Amino acid sequence: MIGAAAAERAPSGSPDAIEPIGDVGWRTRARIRGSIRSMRVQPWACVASLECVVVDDSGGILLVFLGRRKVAGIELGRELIAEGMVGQSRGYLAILNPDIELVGS
Amino acid sequence: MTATAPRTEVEPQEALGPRPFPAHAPVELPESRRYRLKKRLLGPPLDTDRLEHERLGKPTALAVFASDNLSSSAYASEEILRVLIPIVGVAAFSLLVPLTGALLVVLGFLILSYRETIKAYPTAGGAYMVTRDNFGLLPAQVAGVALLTDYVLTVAVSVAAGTAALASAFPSVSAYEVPISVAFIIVIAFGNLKGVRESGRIFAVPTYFFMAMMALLIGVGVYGMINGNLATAPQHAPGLMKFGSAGDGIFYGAAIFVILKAFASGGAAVTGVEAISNGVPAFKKPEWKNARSTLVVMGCSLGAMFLGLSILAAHMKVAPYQDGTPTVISEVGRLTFGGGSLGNVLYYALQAATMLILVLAANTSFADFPRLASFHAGDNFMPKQLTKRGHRLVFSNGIIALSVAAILLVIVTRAKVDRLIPLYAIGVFTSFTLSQAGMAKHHWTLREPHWRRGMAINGIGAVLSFVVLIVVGITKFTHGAWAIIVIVPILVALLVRLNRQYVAEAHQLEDEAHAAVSAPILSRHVVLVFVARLDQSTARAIQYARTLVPDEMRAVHIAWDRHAAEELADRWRTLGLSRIALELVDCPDRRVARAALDVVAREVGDAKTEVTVLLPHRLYRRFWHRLLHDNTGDEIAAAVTRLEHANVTMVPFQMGEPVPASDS
Repeated sequence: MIGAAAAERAPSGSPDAIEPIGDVGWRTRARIRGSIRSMRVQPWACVASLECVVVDDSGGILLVFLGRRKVAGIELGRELIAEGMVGQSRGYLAILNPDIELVGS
Repeated sequence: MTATAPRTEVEPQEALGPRPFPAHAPVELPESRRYRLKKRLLGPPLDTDRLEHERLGKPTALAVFASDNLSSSAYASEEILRVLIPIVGVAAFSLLVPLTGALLVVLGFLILSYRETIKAYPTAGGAYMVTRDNFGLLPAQVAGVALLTDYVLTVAVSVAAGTAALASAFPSVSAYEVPISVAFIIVIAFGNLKGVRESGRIFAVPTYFFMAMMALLIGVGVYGMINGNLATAPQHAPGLMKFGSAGDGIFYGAAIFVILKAFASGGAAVTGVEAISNGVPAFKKPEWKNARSTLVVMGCSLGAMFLGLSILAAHMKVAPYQDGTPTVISEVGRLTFGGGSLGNVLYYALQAATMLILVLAANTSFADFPRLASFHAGDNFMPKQLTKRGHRLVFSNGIIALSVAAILLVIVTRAKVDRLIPLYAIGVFTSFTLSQAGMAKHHWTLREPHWRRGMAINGIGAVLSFVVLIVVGITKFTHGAWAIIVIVPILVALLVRLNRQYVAEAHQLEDEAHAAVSAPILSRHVVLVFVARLDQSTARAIQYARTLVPDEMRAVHIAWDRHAAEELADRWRTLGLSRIALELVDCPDRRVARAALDVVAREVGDAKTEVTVLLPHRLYRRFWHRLLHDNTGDEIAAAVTRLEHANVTMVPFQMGEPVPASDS
C-alpha cells in the first residue's frame, strides 16, 4: 500500500515519517498507515476495550483503545494513520490508545 | 489468532521482543481448482467497494437495457402480418401501418408512465417495488413473477429469433437451431457473469450496429419509396404463407377479432420498456435522470424503427414465410438494398445486425432478472441464495437460474419463436398494469407537486396496458396464453409457501435469541471419542481429545463384530494413555448409529450434561476414493445430533499426500 513508499520519501526520524509496519521497533514511537483487517469487541461484562489489527504490505500491528467500546471511524477496511508508543500485547506489537487520523472517506 | 498461537513459537521471540503480525497468512494455502478456474474465466474477484464503479453510463446502459426493446422491431411487424395474412389476405398490408401506429400510442404512454416510475422509485425500481409499496407483498409477487417468467421467455424468444435470422441467411443451419440457441444463451450468461460493466462493454457494439443498419435500411427504403423505384415482393413464392381474401366469408365481428389478435401479436414490440425502470440502480449518478433520458432515447428509436419497417413492409407487400425463414426484415432488406455486390454486403450486414440484436435482447433480461429475483429473495419469497453477489459483483445465482430456465424452454419448444411470443406479452402487460396502477395510487396518496398530471399519465398507462392484457389474454388464449395464466398463479403460490417457511424459520431462530445467549451453562461436560479401529485417524482424534478438559472422557467402540472388539481391547490395554478408557458397547443388531445414539442419550439424559462426540473423519482426495468406504461416521453424526446437548466434532485426517487445503 502506501506505507513503504511514503517512508522512503519522508526523512527518517522526522515526526511525520510513516514507517512500514514491518519495520516498527518495540518501545519506540511510531507512525504507521494501513487498513483495518480485523477487530475485536468485548461484551458488556468485560473490561471495555476495542482492538483492531491494522496491516500494510509489510506487516500488521495491534491498536488497542482502552476504556472504549466503540471508536468512531474504526471499522473493517477503513484506512488510517496511527501514531503512538509501540508496546506489546500477547507477544505481538501493539500501540495502546494511539492517536489516529482517518484517511479517505 | 494470537490466543491460539502455539507457545513454542512465542517463547524464542520473547528475547527479541514482540513481533508484528504477518502481512499475509503465515500458511500458504493453495486455492481450490474450482476457484482457480473461475478466476481464469471471469477475471479477478471484485471488491464490494467497487460496486459504485460498476455503474453504467448512458451509452452503455442504452445498449444493455434497450437491446430487448429495440430488438422487438425486428419481428413485431412480421408477427402482425403472420396473423393477418391467412385471413384478410392483401388487406393485411394496409392494416399493418395503422396497427403499428396504435402500438406506438401504447408505447408512448408506457414511456411517459415509466418516466414517472423512475423518478418516484430511483433506488430500487421496477414493477416489483412499485407494486409492493402501493398494493402490498402479494400483488408484488404477481407482478414480479409475471416479469420473471417474462424474462425467461425473452431470453428464449430472442435467442430463438436470432437463430432464425441466422437461418434466413444460411439455410443450412436450420437443422441446428436448438443447439445454436443454447450456445447463444451460454455465451450471454458467461458475459454477464464477468460483471455489469464488462458485459455492457462486450454487448454495446452490436446494439449500435443494429441501430445504424436499421437507419440505413429505412433511409434507403424511404428514399426509394419517394422515387417510386422500390421493388415489390413476389406473392407466390414456395413456402410463402397462404393469402386469405377479405371476402372469405368474414363477417364484421370476426374481422375485429382478427385485428385485435394482430394487435396482440404486435404487442411484443413494446415489451422491454420496463427494463430500464427495473435497472435504475445500475445507472451512474444521478440515476433517475440518466435512466429517464435513456428511456426516452430508447422509446424514440424503437418507434422510428418499428414504424419505418412496417411502412416498408406494407409498401413492398412482404409476406412472412410459413416456417419463419427467411424473415420479413430480411426480405425487406434484400429488396431495399437490391442485388448488386454492395446490396449483398449490406443485406448480410443487416442480417448479422438483426441476429446480434435479437440474441442480445436476451442480455437485457440477464441484466434485470437477477436483480428482480434478488428483490424477491430479499423479501423472503425466493431462495436466499439469489441475494448473494458473486465473484464479479453480479447476482451470479440469478444469472445461472435464468440461463437454465431459458435453455429448458428453448429445448422444449424446439426454438420456434411464434410459439413463445403470445406467452411473452402476457407477463409484460400484467406487470405494466400493476406497476402503472401502483404509480397512480402513489400519486394519489402522496400528492406531490404535479400529482394530477402524473396520475393521469399513469392512470391512462394502466388502463391501456390492462386493455392490451385482456386483448392478448383472450385472443391468444388457445395459442399458449393459457399456460401463463396457469403458471403464474402456481408460481405465486409456491413463493408464498416458501415465504411461510422462511418466516417460520426466522421465528424459531431469532425469537428471544438475545436472552438465550446468556442462558446458564450445563454443569457437566463429557467427551466421547468414537473409535472403530486403532489407526492414524483415530490417533489424531485421541491427540485432539487430550487437549480438552472435560469432566469425563472415554473412548467408545460399538462392537458389531465381537471378535474385532476383543482385538481392539487387547491393543488398547497396551497403550500408554493415562486418561482415556475404552468402553466396548455390544451391538448385536449391527446398527452402529443407533447404538451410538443410545450411548450418548444415556449421558445427556440427566439434563445437566453437555456431550461432545469426537469422530475421526477421513478426507479423501478424489471423489471416487470416498465411494470406496462406507460413511458410518456421517450416520453417527446425523443420529447423535438429534439429541439436545449432544455435539459432534469431526476430527479430520487427510488421506493421500498431506496437503494443507482440499483440492477438490
